[in-house]
Amino acid sequence: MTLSDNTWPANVKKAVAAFEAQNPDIKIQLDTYPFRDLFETIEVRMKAQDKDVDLISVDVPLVASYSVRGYLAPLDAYFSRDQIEKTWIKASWQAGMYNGHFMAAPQNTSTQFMFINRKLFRDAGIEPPKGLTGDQTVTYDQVAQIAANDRWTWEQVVDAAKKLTKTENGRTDVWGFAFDQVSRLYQLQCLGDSLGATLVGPDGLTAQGYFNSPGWLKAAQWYGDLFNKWKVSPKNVTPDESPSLFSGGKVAIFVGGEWNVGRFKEAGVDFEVAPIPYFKEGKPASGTGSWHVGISKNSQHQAEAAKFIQFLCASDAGATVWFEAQGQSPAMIALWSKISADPKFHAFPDDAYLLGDYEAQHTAVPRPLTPAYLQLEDIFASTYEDIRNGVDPKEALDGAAQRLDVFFAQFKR
Amino acid sequence: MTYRRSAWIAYLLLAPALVCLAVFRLWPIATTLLGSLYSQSIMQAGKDVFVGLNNYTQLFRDPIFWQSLWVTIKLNLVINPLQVFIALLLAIMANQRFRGTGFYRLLFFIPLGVSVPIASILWRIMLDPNSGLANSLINLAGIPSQPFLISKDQALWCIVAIATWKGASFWMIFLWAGLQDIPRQLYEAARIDGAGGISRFFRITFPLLRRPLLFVLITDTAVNFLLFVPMFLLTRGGPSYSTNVLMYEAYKSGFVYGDMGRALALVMVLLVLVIATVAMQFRLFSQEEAN
Amino acid sequence: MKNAIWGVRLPLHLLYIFVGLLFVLPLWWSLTSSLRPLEEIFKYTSPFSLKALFLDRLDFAAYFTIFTERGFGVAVLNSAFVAAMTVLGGLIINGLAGFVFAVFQFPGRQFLFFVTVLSFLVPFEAISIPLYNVIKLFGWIDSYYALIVPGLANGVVIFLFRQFFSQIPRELAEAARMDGAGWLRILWNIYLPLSKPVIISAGLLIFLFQWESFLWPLICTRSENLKVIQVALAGFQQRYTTQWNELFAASNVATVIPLFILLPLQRFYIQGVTAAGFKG
Repeated sequence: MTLSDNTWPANVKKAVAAFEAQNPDIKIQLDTYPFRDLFETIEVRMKAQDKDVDLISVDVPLVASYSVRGYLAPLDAYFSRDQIEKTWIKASWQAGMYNGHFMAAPQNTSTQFMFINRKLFRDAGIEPPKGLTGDQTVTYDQVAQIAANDRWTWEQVVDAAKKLTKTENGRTDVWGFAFDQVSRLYQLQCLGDSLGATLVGPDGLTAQGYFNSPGWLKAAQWYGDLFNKWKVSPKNVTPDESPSLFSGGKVAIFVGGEWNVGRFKEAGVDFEVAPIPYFKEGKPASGTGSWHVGISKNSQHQAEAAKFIQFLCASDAGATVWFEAQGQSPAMIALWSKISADPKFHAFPDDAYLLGDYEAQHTAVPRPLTPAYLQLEDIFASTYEDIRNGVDPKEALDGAAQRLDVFFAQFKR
Repeated sequence: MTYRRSAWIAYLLLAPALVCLAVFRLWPIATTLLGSLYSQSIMQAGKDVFVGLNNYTQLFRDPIFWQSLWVTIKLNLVINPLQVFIALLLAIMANQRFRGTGFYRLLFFIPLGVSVPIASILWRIMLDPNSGLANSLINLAGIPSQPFLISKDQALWCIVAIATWKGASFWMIFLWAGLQDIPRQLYEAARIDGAGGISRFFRITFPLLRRPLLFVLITDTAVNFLLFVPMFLLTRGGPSYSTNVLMYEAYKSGFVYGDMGRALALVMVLLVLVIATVAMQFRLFSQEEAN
Repeated sequence: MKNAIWGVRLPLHLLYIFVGLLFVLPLWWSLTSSLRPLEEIFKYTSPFSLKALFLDRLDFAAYFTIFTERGFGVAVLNSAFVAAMTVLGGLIINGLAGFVFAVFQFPGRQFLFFVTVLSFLVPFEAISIPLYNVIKLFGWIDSYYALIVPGLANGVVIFLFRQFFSQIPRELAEAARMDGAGWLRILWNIYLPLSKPVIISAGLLIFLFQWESFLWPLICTRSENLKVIQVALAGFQQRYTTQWNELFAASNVATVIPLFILLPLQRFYIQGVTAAGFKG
């Protein structure tokens, strides 16, 4: 049985090993690919109706797209509605549904944090926001307090960033601010969400009026200003390179995924984890959603595949193996309760999970549900890259909305 | 060589090559044409449905297509003559005989080992607007730092420069070989007749170089029309779609959007373009030859 | 002209040096950067100081790590194997075809040659998607077959062989035939010994083509242990971007290997291409 999976082969191997230990008659062959290649491979193999693939990793926003194109076999036979609602947090299982069918089960979810370089703040004499640091332990309630009351606004971030950016002779040594996945939809969606603006209409197939709504225009303008007006963030840095800027001490404020916690700790940065900022006139919103697993439509081993999904996503044993290996926020409700109660997660940096728990339940906004997600994501990325490089936001957004509607029209037939 | 059995032997010996070409070149082209007439149906959950020319009409209605077409044409109008011209210059330089040309020739050959991905990555680092070597060097000359690959006005031409840097040596070899073929006596005779360097070039070199030049031009054109690896690795079609050539759009359609019908339609358009251009180049050169 | 003073030639030399520098400088920088610790690479580039191009000490660490930790050795071996196989098979298949086109008369000769030559106008990128499906049909995805077989028949190489063989005087073959030699004997005893230049240039062309091949291996192979060198390099950019010195080390290795083969053989390469003559 083959599983087409993502970029963390070692972790998946652990989960597979645990499953095989419990089910000695089922062997899983793992095919792993780097991020970009995985999507392309899935496209090619699913289009070719490859019978050799049984399970595929579904990046959550692609559930609709894969379902529409017949890549996935429904999981309704294996999970009842009641089971679904009891096992996973709402944002996660909802994202795995299409047209009333349960198409892919959540492996985990994700959340976003604001990372503060404490040394740079100290050197500049600026008071950092309240958050989680290495010199204290916290309980869930304390964390919830901070997230509810002491959250910074984007406006505050810019103010601090301006003072933290060090430029000499046209060369910048330290940048005040950087995003993790620059110009990508997953990263920037929270900006529009904070202002209450969605990217596409409720039918998932209209861009005009949504992608270029006044709310998103404001968000886009703010984003562009980061690079072109206030110059607190570097241009020409790719999403792969961005985190290393923070771990190299070149960026003071970094907004990115929770998976960076371990990475920054290893790099030895003196950092703090704070809740993700929001726009003053809006409300807090955070990115969420991660990988799901689905059964390939042409699989010859659907029952066994379902067993694996059951193990990995819905059983305590499996989900724990995955959580401990991968370290990303779980989607299973039961696992969250375990974490909040466990004192291990009261100390830094593991207490970040508590913050993640709060965000997942209170501020998380899933990505748009649309069968044309791939086009949406691609056009979003090039549009915001252009804005980053100085193109007028209104022009960019209007052009993109037009282009997107051309793509969406195909699905309206 | 004409013996009766020879026809069968000829076919036999040709068979492996022809079979390979048929299976791995011609059959895919046929599939491309056929595939472009199909599209994935939303209603039937992914089954391929015959849609005739629908993929093409959708394409022609898409402003991105026309943008890509324009970028591709713009690119090729410049890069093909440019690369041939530079290759020719290099070939002439390599062909001179004075002390040291052996060494210089070696230098000219060095980019041969560099592949397109390597050249792209290397130049991307050098053209970095913040800390790249290119900007530092031109700063020394007093020129302000340029955005290069993140500017919608400069990005395409940067790619032209990178592709030329990598490819010039390769095409130079063919032209140099052609130059070597020209008997030196012709030049001697012309010099005795009092013809100057330029005149010698146009009267002797150019006409006798016609075949290799045509070969290089045609093959280079075919390669450049489908050039997209630098766009894939460096600019992803941006900034502002300024480097979004048709082939990259086809790749995106096929491998990122999963819209195979559209991808194949784009490839067909490209193939038609290449054949048309090459046919035109052939015509132009043959006509001149007739003169 | 032979008596020209050195001084008159100086601007000419400067021109050559300038062009030479243009080609060599980026690669030289890549070389020096691969031999220094990571933090130093961009320290001297901006603002520019000559230290960027010259080293006080050599640090070979990057060259070790790419083989021991990044598995680059596998990629090198893969590319070498695939290239070698393609050259072997390609020389035979294309050489035979070129020989036939040059020497035999048979119905359809013009047409078939025309089709062959036309086929090389179809670069890989254009057919990569449907070609994938063809390979899938054969069950060759993710195997060495997928990497080698589609690259065997090559229109340019057939063209080269055909042109070269056409140049060899017919009389030699005719004479041998008079003596009752079959085509095999003629090929082996007459054409082959004379073919060294074209074999080398065709071989080099095929080798280069496979060594530098990126898109097709990217599409048709998945496993880590089948990665060829260019794909591995592009992968460096995604995962290990911070390790610039390793990236440079790897690309230097990838660039230098073909040069070690090309440069010493350049004379034959040129000869082979020249002798092909392009005289229609």
